[in-house]
Amino acid sequence: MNALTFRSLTIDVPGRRVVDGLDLTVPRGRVVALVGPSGSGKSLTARSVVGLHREGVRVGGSILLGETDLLSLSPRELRAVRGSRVGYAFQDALASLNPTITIGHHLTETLHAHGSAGDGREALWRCGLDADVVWGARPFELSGGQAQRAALALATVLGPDVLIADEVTTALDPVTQAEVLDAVRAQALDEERAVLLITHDLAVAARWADEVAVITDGRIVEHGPSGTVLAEPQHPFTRELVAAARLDPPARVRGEPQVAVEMSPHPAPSARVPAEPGGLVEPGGLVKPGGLVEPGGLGEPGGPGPGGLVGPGEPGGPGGSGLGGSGEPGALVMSLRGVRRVLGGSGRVARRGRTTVALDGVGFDVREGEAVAVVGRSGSGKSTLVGVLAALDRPQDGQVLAGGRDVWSLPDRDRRALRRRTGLVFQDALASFDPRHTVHQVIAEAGATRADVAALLTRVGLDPELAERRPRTLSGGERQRVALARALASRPRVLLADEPTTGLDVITQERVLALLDELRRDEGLAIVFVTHDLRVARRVAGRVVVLAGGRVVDDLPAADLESTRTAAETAALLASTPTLRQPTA
Amino acid sequence: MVLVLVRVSHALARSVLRRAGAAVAVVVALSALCFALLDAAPGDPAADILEARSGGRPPSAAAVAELRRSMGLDDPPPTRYGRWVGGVLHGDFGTSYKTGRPVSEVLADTVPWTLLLTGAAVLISVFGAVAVGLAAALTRRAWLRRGIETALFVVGGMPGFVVALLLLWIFSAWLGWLPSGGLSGPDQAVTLGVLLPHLVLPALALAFGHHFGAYARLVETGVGRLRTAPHVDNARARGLPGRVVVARHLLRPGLVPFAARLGVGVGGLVAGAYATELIFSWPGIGRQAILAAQSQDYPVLTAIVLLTGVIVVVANLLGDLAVAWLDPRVKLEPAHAH
Repeated sequence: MNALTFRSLTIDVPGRRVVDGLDLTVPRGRVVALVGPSGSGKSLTARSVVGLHREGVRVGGSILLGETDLLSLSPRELRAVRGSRVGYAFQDALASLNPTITIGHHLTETLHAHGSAGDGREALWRCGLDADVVWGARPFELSGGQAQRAALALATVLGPDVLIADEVTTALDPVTQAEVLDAVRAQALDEERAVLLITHDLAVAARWADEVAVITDGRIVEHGPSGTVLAEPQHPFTRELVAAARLDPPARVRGEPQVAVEMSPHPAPSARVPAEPGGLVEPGGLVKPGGLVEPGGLGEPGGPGPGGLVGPGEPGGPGGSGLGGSGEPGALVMSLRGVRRVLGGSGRVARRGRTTVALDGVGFDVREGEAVAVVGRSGSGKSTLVGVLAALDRPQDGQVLAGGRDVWSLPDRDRRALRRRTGLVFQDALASFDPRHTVHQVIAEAGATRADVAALLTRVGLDPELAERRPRTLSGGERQRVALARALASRPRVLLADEPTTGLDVITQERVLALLDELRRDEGLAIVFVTHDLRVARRVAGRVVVLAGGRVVDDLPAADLESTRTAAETAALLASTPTLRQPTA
Repeated sequence: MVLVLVRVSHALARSVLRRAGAAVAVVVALSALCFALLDAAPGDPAADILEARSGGRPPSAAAVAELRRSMGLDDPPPTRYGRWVGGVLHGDFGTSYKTGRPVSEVLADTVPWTLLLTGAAVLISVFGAVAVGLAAALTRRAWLRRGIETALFVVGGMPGFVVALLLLWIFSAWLGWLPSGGLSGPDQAVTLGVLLPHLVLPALALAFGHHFGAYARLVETGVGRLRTAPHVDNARARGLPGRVVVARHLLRPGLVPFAARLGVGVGGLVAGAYATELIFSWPGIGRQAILAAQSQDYPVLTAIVLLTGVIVVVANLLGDLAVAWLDPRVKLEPAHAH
């Protein structure tokens, strides 16, 4: 029996049709993944089921819950359906809970609103939470994983026929993600629930969904059993999505079409060369009239060096092996030695034992032209490490060495100069910009002249015309490129990227990763890439440093992740990380 | 996790205590300042008292010296300060130079009136600001939102005494609906039927003349920014009734900036009561303070200044507690520096 059916669904926002004739069926007891990039209309589709649209959004066609057309219901009838027959779990669980009331209050108010005598604690236990502990807690007192489970319990407390899980695990580390999605799937089977899983991550869909529907530009272009769609994608868009989601390290894509670069609307020339009218100039003098870069020229190991010293496609350019530069040791850029950082206040408070050891004897090196990925679960100390590497937070113990000198024994002035030579890129690029600034101002603030700004924008694969726009009018990928341009403006020796592609869809992510790869190779930039996603780490970095409980448990070449014995924490991360990569011979 | 929760409530209790301790310190400092003012005021208290008792005849030097000795005015300042504080703690604020009445009696006659007036004004401020701010934040009618914003801008730009005079002119002089003041003296019995009409205009003037525009705007922006918040979407997606969504999920977290401001604002309201009481001849401490200042009746003036300070400190403390109750994320202690 079909629990949820979309028939010729159309969704219009003022001036634009976002969803255009979508047909999809979610049967009971099955998990159907709706997969697509940002802006494909998948979230609007999900929200239209519970009538959560903003002013001015018009929904046409029909959405059948069993036999009832939800779009024909009165507000009162729809309210009775919401929460009781359709549960909705949101992307950011923490933000989707009211910070001023307890988890128990959330559950009881939901039961009360539907006149149900159900048991809220039972729902928490079902979602793998200790109800006695969580019941009286407020959302901000929970970890990310606990918050998402609590949100899930809240969405399913009345045993709905349909659960809509809208990017529920985007912000979670792989182990927590696996736990949450396992719970969703188990409940779907046990309680005959239809689950519509909204995600931009094909690997997630492949592992936890029975069926996959690929949506782009408001239409479903491919739909079928997960295994079939992902193993033998038919539609060109699905193929592109699958290729991007595979996240192969550059060496392994040699010979395959460079999908990510080909599809980029603003292809990146590989040196600071301003755009010529009618096309982009390659350092080698190659002009592409269509504005597209030759597939062989970019994203390929050992690509063109600065100033075209090395011919396109010729291996062995500066930066080395293409596996994140692990083969050829460059000069030491940064080192940590036995770094220990304790959080949770100082003096009086510290004596009361309300402290957390965020970093406990962390040490590793970063060399020129090398990309090091720092991987770990939430709470493993990754973010603290970023602050220490940026010479912003002083460790209580140990040394932070930059160019062989101890950062914290330098005079303040030199340390500030050092900070300027460290590029920082954050997960939420928009939040790191002054909202009143234009793109030009954002980049110029870091010390770039007008000509520099244009060159930097070109460098990160953006149209220099974008300089007068405001960041919030840009897409997620474009914002992250602007953040990169700003980080490059101070001519850094090392780039610190803190989860820069979390929240981007796979295609955009692949483009940003390709750009980082290129910057590392062409500019000899050292990159420290912090992520909870081992696939991304493997894609971008030559070396992977695994953090757990504030300690480095593994520090090894990315290529050896699967072949060598790793620490238990690394093995757990590997096992929980869904992947689309074909086993290599 | 249980440990964490216990810690949070402990932290709250501890920070409340710390805040209360800080408030006491402020009051002590204020009392020292008041005493210094009293001490530095021109004139000789003993001479003033004798002059007041004898109906204006200048007293003899011997009588003044005798009284000075018996009042302990020749003791060193720390001793006199200790004695004054001891008296204040027992409700003895000294004697009015002007009338010879104990200051505590003067306070007992005037303080309730001021509390009544400011209490009424705070209620009008809170309910008015919430109602107006909520309407502006939630309405889909652009004209209503713009109208409210314009009105708030105009009201917010007017000093308190202008609002008071405007209200007087419209409702008392022009329409003749409400008395302009002249509530019976503090000795006479007052019935509710007499009190209420007299209370309306000063309370409105005090409420609308002091930060009302800012309050309403704080409610509007506080609630407005939450309209599209994920937790509000979630509340709707769970099928909660509209009033629950508004009251619990929009208003409660949305009122935090307003509550934080209100705690500080009540202090301003008490200060504003001085002018308002004078304009409407309301028999409260504000008018009494101005009369005392004019007649150089320093014991009365000092006591009122001290009392006003205490009210302001207590209002701030209550405001902080309200914020902590509304939003448990707010810890009542400064964030630890990294």
